[in-house]
Amino acid sequence: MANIIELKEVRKVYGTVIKTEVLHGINLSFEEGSFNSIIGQSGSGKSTLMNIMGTLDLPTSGEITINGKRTDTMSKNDLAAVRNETIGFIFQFHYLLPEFTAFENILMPYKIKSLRSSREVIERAKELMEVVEISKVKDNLAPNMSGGQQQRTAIARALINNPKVILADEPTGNLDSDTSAKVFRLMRDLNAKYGTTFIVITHDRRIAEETDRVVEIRDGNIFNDVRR
Amino acid sequence: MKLALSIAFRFISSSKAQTLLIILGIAIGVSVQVFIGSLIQGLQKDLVNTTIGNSSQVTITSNTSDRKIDNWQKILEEVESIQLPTPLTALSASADVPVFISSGDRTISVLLRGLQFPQANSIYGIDAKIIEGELPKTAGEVLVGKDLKDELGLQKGGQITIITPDRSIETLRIAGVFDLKVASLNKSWLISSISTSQGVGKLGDSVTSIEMQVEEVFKADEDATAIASALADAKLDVTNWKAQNADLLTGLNGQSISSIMIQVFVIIAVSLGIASVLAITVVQKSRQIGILKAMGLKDSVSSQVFLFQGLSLGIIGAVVGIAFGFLLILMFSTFAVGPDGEPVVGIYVNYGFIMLSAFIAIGASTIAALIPARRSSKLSPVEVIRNG
Ligand SMILES: Nc1ncnc2c1ncn2[C@@H]1O[C@H](COP(=O)(O)OP(=O)(O)OP(=O)(O)O)[C@@H](O)[C@H]1O
Ligand SMILES: [Mg+2]
Repeated sequence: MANIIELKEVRKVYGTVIKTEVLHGINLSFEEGSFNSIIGQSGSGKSTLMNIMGTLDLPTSGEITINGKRTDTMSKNDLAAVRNETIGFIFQFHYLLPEFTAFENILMPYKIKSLRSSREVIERAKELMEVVEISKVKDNLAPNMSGGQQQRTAIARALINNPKVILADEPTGNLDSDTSAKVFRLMRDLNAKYGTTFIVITHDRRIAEETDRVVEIRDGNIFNDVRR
Repeated sequence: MKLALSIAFRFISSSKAQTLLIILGIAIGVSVQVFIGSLIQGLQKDLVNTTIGNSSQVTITSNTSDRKIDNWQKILEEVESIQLPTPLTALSASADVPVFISSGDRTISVLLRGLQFPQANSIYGIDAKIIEGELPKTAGEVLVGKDLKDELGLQKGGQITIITPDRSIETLRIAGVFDLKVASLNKSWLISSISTSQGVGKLGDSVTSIEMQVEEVFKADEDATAIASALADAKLDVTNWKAQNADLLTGLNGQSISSIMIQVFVIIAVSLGIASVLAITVVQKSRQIGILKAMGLKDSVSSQVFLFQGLSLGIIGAVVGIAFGFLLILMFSTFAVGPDGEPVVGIYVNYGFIMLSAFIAIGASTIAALIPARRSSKLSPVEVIRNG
């Protein structure tokens, strides 16, 4: 299988006066359709790595290739298009827009891509809402949902444009263990159903053990990389 | 565009109190603008009207020693045929003769104004200002002013004896009484037909002045210049009201400037208000902007969101403000009335000016939104995501 994301010698230095290098030349790639986890201690550089993979942040040096295209040299507008069409994000906080309903939130990435909402995308949104089980609250404003519902809405939103890869930074970090397990199972199902690549940062080793590949980061280096 | 607009509308409608406040701010600015502007323009119109509304605005006189204009019929025709910067609304000749009235042991100096009827009515509106009797029909008839009549105890239908400039005595019949609402004129004018005064003054067929009113009074000087150069007669002077009322003009100018100053400051205050409220909104919505950008919203679209907020707040504020302004005007003309029930100041509703105020407010709101729009465009999604 082709690689959906490839990192070559990626370094990240924070600060201009006092410089701290938090990623020390990372070489890493992820296969299309795989389900991966990234683990590591707090402050080891997981989020920094993921934000760079998601083009939200630029590396200080190194090359990034997403879906066959170099992104470290792209313009801001091109990066926005890559994020919109190729990547779906899920964060620890759901980051839904509180002014919009669950349904409208799910459609938002599509609206950013193309102005008119087609019948197909509405169908897809409805299907996703069924899959993540929020159809009953689809017209609730984002704040008027439970934490689990909010996070599942965020997952549906990440999937609406049928992205190649989902980047999830501690997606269950704010949920109780039952709900966490449910959300995690949902992501596995979606991976199986749509073939979307998942890269999930987690603190929970038990969750990580269940993924196809576990990458462990320690102090800005890849410490361990286990495939099963 | 459409997305930016729909996000802008959602942001506006979801924080109702803030939106209401900002719209109220713009609306108050616009209404003050509309009200003060209309009031001052009304005041100026009133002032101009009372000063020159019933008098000659452009006047042709002779500078010869006898002050006579002989070929006046021809001049009237000529003036009528000139292409003028602002068209004439009235044109008539008059033959004025200073005369004396002796009453008991006193001698009163008055001006016998021989006017060309009915043309002179467009300037003086004499026909509407006769309170007793009627316009002089035959030679030897005059109208007397209300105050002169009271002072001398004159009667309609009675006689008045005058002493002409060459000291002969003439007796005229009183055809009626006028009231020009100006005591000095009511006391010092006798009004007759042009032929009567020509006879009294031994003018032959001459007149002493040709009087005009123009459509746009502030262009009277341009008309005067055009007429003078068209007539090209060194014996004739063409004067206009602006040259004779420098004080009034200075006053009007000062008023206009202070009105513009008020309006400029209102605009500045409103713009600052909008800019600061929108700046706060960017901070409040930075989370949303950040996540929208993470989902692929372009920087340009994210700044449009705030431009559209400024624009739509400006439009709503302007519309509400105009409504408020009209309400103020209505209240003013209903409650600020003189003893005669007429408003103390006739407000002049100039739709062009009101539209201009609205467009300025909308423009200012949009410009005020530029700074927040820039901030929104510069916001980086990773900052939002890192800081929660
Ligand atoms: N904007 C920044 N400026 C300076 N240092 C930063 C910045 N962001 C992160 N860091 C530092 O970089 C290192 C890696 O941070 P990062 O957020 O990637 O860690 P993490 O592995 O995601 O931790 P956690 O599990 O707590 O989320 C940390 O030492 C952090 O202090
Ligand atoms: Mg992190």
